[in-house]
Amino acid sequence: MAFERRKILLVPLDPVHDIGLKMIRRGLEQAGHQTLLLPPDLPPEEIVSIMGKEHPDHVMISRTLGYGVGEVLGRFVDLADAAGLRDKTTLVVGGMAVRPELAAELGFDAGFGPGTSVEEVVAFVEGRPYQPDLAGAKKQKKDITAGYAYDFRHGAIGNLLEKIVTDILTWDEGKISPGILRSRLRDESWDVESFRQGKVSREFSEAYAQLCDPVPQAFHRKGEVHPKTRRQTDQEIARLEDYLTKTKSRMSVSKVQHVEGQPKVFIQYGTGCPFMDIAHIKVCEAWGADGVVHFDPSWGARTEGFIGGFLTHQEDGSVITPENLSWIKAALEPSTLWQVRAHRGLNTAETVVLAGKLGADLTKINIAYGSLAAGTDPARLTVDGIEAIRMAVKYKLPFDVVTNEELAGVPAHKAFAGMLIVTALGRRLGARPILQPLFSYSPEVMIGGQMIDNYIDFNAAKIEALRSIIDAPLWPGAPIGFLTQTEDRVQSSMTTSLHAALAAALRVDAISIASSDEAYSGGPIIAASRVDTLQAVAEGFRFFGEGRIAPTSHAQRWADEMVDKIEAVLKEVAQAPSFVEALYAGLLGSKEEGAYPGRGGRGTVTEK
Amino acid sequence: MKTIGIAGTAKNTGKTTTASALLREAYRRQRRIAITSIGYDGEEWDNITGLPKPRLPVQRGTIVATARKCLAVSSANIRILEDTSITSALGSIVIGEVVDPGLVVIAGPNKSVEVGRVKNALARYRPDLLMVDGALNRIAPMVEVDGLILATGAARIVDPHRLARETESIARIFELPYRSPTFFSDNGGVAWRIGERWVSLPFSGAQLLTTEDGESLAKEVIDFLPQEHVEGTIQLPPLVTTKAIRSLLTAAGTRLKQWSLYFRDPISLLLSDLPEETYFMLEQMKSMGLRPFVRKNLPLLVVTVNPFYPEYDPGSQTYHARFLPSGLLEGRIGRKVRIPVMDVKRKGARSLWRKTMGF
Repeated sequence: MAFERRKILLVPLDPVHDIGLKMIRRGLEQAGHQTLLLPPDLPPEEIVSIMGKEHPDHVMISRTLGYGVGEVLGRFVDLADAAGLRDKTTLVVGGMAVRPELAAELGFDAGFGPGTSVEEVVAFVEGRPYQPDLAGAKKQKKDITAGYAYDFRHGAIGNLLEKIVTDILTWDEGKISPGILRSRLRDESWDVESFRQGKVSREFSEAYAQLCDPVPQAFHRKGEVHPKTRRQTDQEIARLEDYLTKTKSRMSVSKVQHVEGQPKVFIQYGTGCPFMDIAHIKVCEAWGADGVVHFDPSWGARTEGFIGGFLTHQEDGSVITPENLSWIKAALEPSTLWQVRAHRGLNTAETVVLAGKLGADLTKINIAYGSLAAGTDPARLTVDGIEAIRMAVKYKLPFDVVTNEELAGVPAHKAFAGMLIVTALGRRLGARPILQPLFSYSPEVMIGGQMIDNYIDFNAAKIEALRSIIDAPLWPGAPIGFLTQTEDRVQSSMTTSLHAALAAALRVDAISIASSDEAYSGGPIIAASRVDTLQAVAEGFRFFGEGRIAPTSHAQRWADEMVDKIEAVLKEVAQAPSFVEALYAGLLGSKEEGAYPGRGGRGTVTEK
Repeated sequence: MKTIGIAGTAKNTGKTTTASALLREAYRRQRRIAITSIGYDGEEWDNITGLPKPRLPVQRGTIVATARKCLAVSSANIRILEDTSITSALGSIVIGEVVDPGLVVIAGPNKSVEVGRVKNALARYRPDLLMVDGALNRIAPMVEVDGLILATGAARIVDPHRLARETESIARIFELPYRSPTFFSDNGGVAWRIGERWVSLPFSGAQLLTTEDGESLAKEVIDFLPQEHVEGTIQLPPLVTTKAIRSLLTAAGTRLKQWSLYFRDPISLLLSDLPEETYFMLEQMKSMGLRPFVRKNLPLLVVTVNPFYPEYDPGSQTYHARFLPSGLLEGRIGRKVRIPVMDVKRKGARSLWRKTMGF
């Protein structure tokens, strides 16, 4: 096909803003087209007069929209029409707030809004369909743990961890719990395909009910749902299907990262209503979230057994049921990483099984945190945690080891010691654990003053310390900047963005971010606040790129101190009668520090 | 088939309200209706101010010409009869028949020639009335209609006195006498009589837009004209501006006394400048002894007025709805023009129909 050189008149109608047109001009000229850039702010009749003399193939007008501007643009189109130039020339408008509907309303042949690429304009001029750079825009799931060997870099700490893990596994031998029995029943007897076809196995239901508390028993025997919950109505389900069909038909995902290697960004959902969760997820996917984390209600973690049904309730956290998880899974874009948390309660092991069977990519397990700050009995969570890690291996689910006990007041080095023990346990059992240090303004630093000058040094020290101990992936959370955010959405977005930029500069693998109203919403958060922080993080990534943030000398000193203290804690744990005894003794977080060994499931661990 | 255009002087002047009223009355009288628009209009929310706007309610049997993408967002069920292959920013323009009533989003062609093509295509379905809804202040394609309704109001100019003055100017432009010229095709030219013989010079371009264009035309005319005064005529290009005409008159006005000047139509005159400036120019011409005409007649049937205007609140960065006192605009403008002036919401659809379709 012969190349057809086009003549394009570029018209900045704004008094000053013609940079977009200049970029387009360069692109068009590089593509071999002839361009003529007019001076800014010419009256419409002068532009039409020039059109009459120059006979361009296309006229591209750039104008930021505001009240009264539409009339000016409409008048320009009218003048071109009345002058008989409309048939021979394509009229295009571009600028802030321009959409195809508006271009049509103003009488233009096409409209280009913000985010339009130069390539798109060139394709339009050449009359060919625009093929976006799919290689650049296409998102694929990334295995956050890829490339990590889990070698201990700190010999002494590695040896201590190996000993502690051996002791834990020895202690665990022959122990069983209702949670383990349920997870094995779910693993062996619950067929996900039959579930999807709506078939209920009475045999499974009855066997399962026998291992549950009364509320799940009532569900599996009589179909009664938890009194705090209700089933989604048929009308709600129809609306959800309609919403999903419409949304998916126009859905595209974007990237938050500016350069390769910047952390994957996770958001957390758990509004209580799966429909609202799905809407939030779709917004976040569209604005660049790489992964989503399922938050379940705290009562779910304290109840033996799961109920079922497509359920909603008016509390924080969305109930884990096979139906709820299946709807969430169905809503996800193929590129979205999906984590279902299993870390803290009486259903830890079974959650991993459910997550694995229903197609999750990641889970979350931490025996120390669940025992010390989430209310579960240390012995119970130890046996269930080991089972959960084994199931995570079976279902190929990497898991993060969260250290939220820091928020209760446990110092970082103790929380990290617990995290490292669970990580080493996972390493021994063949799992792919991910370290999750907090990037937060924790009680420890509030009292100790490590963040009086800046938020950089102590967070950088944490990463440095962990990296010097083990070669493992890092996923600061959860969410980053926690307790630095206020009710001011701009401030909240800003601090999230800066923490994300710090995480990127420290080359971590992933981060979890809050919405800009999350900490202070006092109720459901709004979708727009999700966009706030995703946009803010994208801008942070854009700003720093491959650039680095230089911590002060405090960071290295604190990192060295942290490693020494972790080693000291691990020595004490290794000398304790057992890991469970160490948890009770406060070695990984004492009552004075805000850690209380939980009571949920106490006395339920039995010998086989 | 009668073709009525509804043009607005600005956004929010009540085009869609007028169109809806005309539709209601047409249905009551059991007339077969066809609807199209110049470009896109009838959206639920105003694209610029973010305030709500009505969409057109249509009944079974109505023929519509709209962009394909608009069918999906219309609640009326529309059966496609043909694809006109006219493209737009919202997909190709199709002609369809309303099968189940509902609201419709109309986005028709946005060029004059395309409006002409769609008009011809719609005529084949034998409607009694074709309604062409304007979009924003787009008016150029209205040359294809048989009569025009002008929607104006406080959203155009909040000051009733100034609005009345402008509307009067518009009405006067539409009253310019019609005469069929004989010498030239559409681009026009200059002709003068020497004895019994007419000398004619056609224009090469289709514009008379800048001061330089006016001066250059004046120079050409003067260079060719004999020294003595002669009878003559100028058929102006389709698009002129008052600026260019003024410079023509300044340089050659005295030589053109008693000459006839042909403008294309009232629409092209409206595009030449602000209506008051254009009207003033026409009066100036007459006072210099020139005789302005239009080559194509287009009656202005009714002026509808809307007291609503959006007021910008810098504090909240949003627009708020405001209204002028009821009846104020009808009185002020009605005293200035010879054609009916009405607030459709006050006077109702029947009155609008009687005053519009009486021609």
